[in-house]
Amino acid sequence: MTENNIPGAMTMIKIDGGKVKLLRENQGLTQLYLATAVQVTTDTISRWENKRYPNIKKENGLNLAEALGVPLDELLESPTPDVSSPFNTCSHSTRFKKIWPLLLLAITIAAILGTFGYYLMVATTSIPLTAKRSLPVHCIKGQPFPVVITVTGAPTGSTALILKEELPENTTILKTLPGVNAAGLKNKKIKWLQKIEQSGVFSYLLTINDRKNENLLFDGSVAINNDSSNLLPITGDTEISLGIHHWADSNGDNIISDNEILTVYDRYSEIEELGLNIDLIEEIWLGSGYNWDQKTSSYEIFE
Amino acid sequence: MVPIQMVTTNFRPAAYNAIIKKILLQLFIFLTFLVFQHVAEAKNLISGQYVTSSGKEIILSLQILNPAPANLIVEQYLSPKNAVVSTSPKAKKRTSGKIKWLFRNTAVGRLSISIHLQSPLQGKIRGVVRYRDPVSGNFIESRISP
Repeated sequence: MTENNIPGAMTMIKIDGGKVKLLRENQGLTQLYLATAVQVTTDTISRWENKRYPNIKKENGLNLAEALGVPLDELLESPTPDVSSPFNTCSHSTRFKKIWPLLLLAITIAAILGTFGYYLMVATTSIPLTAKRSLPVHCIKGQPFPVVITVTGAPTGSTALILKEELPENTTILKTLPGVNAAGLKNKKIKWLQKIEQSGVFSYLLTINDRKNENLLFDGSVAINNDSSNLLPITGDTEISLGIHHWADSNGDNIISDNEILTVYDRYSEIEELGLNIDLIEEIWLGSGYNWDQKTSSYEIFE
Repeated sequence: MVPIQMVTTNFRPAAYNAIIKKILLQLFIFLTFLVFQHVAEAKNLISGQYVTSSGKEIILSLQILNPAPANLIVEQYLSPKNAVVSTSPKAKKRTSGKIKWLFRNTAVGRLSISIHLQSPLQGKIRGVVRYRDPVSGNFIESRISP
């Protein structure tokens, strides 16, 4: 729509500012000439020419067309842009010249963001690292029990990692596997710096010395290449309770059943050198039951 | 309007319901098949049979399939009237009427257990094999009869 007929108001039309400017310049006319012919100011002419489709009075439009020597229709806004038109080519090219630095900037920013996003995505997805802790349900004060952390890394190749384990208060580490030096054992913390092939098992033998808390909490993390941004928590068991049952007697029925001995062998065979005293567990399993004697700190095994 | 409404309300939901029911039924059958197949596979990791179950010697043969359970418990029940002279491999525990073995680091293949009795076998015998499924970690118990 290029003409607005509002009842009781003057008729307005939409003209093409670019066409007006081009026609004026082609004919060597000045803005002052057109302003005089149409009976408006030069500022108005300038505003019409610089706006893409200015709304002007129809009467002024007729005067403008007459001054430029063209029919009014030629000045009106084109409903669809004519690509072949020299006017449009000119205006598009001018606009493109104006916006190309912005376009270039936008493309550059998008490329940087895309690269960064891709890097982040690849960085996070290319580290299929998981660490899972396995704790017995319960243990006896002063009696050693194993803690096993199974780490799974990249399916192919080796993964260098740092595994940190924070131990509860009033505990003593008896042995770690793989072994760690003094620097790796500080303030109730174990720190392994190790390379694994696909997966690795990290374990330690621990005793709880005091019975201040019934339940003791474990916390730990795993990271690749000392990169704190890739720090992952160790999942799995986090809690162990103190009681009067052997750690291998998971259901606390004072019997080590076939299922329980098989679980011990299946789960802890790899870390027997930790000093699990498997012989004692087997002895309890072969018996008909056991009892923990707190006074003598020993197991009474029933035949 | 009325016929169109009847067509739209009667035809489409019924057709969709039938299709959904069919898909759900097929899915149920497929899942049931998968579950049973999984259980069957898990239970069939170790199969056993008595090579001899009479006379003075009892031989039990176990076939361990892949993936082999790492550890295995075998229990042999026999009448307390039978006096056991020896077993091969050596049993972990021998009580009246029950012999128990624990095998560690088992591998795929055949495992043979023999029991030598003082006198020909009296009464019935049966065996039990217990292990943990290496994939699921489930405790599995299977019985062996002559």
